[in-house]
Amino acid sequence: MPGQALRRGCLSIAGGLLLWEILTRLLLENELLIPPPTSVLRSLWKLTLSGELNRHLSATLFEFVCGFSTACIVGILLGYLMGRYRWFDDLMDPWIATLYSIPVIAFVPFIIIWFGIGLFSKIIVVFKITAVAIMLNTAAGIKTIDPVWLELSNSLRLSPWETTYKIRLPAALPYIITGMRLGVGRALLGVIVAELMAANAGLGYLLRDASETWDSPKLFVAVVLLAAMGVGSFILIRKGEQKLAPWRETAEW
Amino acid sequence: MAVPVLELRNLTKEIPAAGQEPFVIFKNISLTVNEGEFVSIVGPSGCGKTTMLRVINGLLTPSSGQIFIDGKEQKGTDGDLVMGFVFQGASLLPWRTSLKNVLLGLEGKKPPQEAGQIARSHLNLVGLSGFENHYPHQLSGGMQQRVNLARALAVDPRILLMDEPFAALDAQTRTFMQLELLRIWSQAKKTVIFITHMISEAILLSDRVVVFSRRPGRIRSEFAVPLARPRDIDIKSDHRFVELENVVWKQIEEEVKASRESSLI
Repeated sequence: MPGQALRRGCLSIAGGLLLWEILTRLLLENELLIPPPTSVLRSLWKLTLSGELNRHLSATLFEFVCGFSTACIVGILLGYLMGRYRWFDDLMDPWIATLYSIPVIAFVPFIIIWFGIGLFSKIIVVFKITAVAIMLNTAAGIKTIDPVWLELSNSLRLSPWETTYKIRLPAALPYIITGMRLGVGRALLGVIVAELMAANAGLGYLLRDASETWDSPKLFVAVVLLAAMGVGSFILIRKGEQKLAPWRETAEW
Repeated sequence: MAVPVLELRNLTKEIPAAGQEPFVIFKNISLTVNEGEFVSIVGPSGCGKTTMLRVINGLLTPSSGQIFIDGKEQKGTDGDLVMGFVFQGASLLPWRTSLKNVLLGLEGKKPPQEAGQIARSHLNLVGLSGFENHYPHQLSGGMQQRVNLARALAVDPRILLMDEPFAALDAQTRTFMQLELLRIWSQAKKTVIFITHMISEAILLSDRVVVFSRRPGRIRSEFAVPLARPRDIDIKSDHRFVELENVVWKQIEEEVKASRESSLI
């Protein structure tokens, strides 16, 4: 019963918040350590009114959306070529293996040196993380296609182009979506790290700003918004998967 | 008059092996199938009958020999779509509904509206009206094979190639589908080559049964089925049916025994 599960989930969160409020009011005198939810809400309200929140949120979202969508296009394209052509796979493999194994945090300083502290460097960070995940998964999906479907395509005399977009790509779609799902979580982490290191706007910037001025309620606002972004993109992808791949009744998470 | 639709001349398929004799799958198959005829091919497993069907369809290239359809030589998968292929297992695309699966061979070749009509009428022919928007995972095994059949028929092929289409079905569904195929065939009036390892299925459906030898597959014998149409399930107890089944079974048994003996040497 999903309705009941949802109701219980909401109840649990509301109870937690209430407990948090009571405990912080009763036990802690210093709001700096853990601000009560009401202070966090007040801070959120102030940030919204001043337009600051809008600026940071839209900066992070913009970086995220731009990086993610270009990563999808490039990742699917290169992943497709890797899945289809052995020689291309061999050429790409050492680079991807190296790039994939270096933690993204180690890259960020370079990316900032090369592309500056503006939006563009964050887009690059998101792109790099997501593209690799999508590429590898697309390649896996293209490689593991059921040979019967290719025989079918031949027996119906479909053109190579038709085979690509009617057979191979839809067959790889579940893999591509898995790549996106993996990419989203990591890309969110990457963009925050990059903004923490050097930025003039964004949720990561807000986070650093708040911590430098010892503004705990503001710090919590940034954390809550990040959580909301993570959950939001997660739900979006799941909805997208249900719409694009309705034949997969159960999705493994 | 019997008009030949398909003609195979000395068709051979072998797989070259480095430094050894090539692995011969079937050898010198010559066969003529006439317009509207239903021909079954039976034989011991591993005799190359499925491979031969793929060679005829152009999915595999023959090592030598020729394939003619209506007197026109077929080479690979070039050329017009003159053959329909019904695969053994689940070859439906899971991301397409039944209707869209049937449309696969029609898209881009017919105007969308006409293609839609053709696809619908073929789903209707195989008894699946009302299931147009179901995805394969929502259909039973028998229904999936019906969609497969509709897809192969929808392109209006000159000949229908069926590769053990009912092998994965349970016994009851299988019998039911055999009778359904008799009905569909009598309506669609297609020339058919039907591969099976089930002798009674071959006799029930066919005008002619071709028996393959053990590998390398050759045509061992051919039998005209002396049973009138329309046929139904009762025909299985007809003495001519039983006799033919016994004769074919003896031949296949000999082939299986011989292949066991040769593999023991």
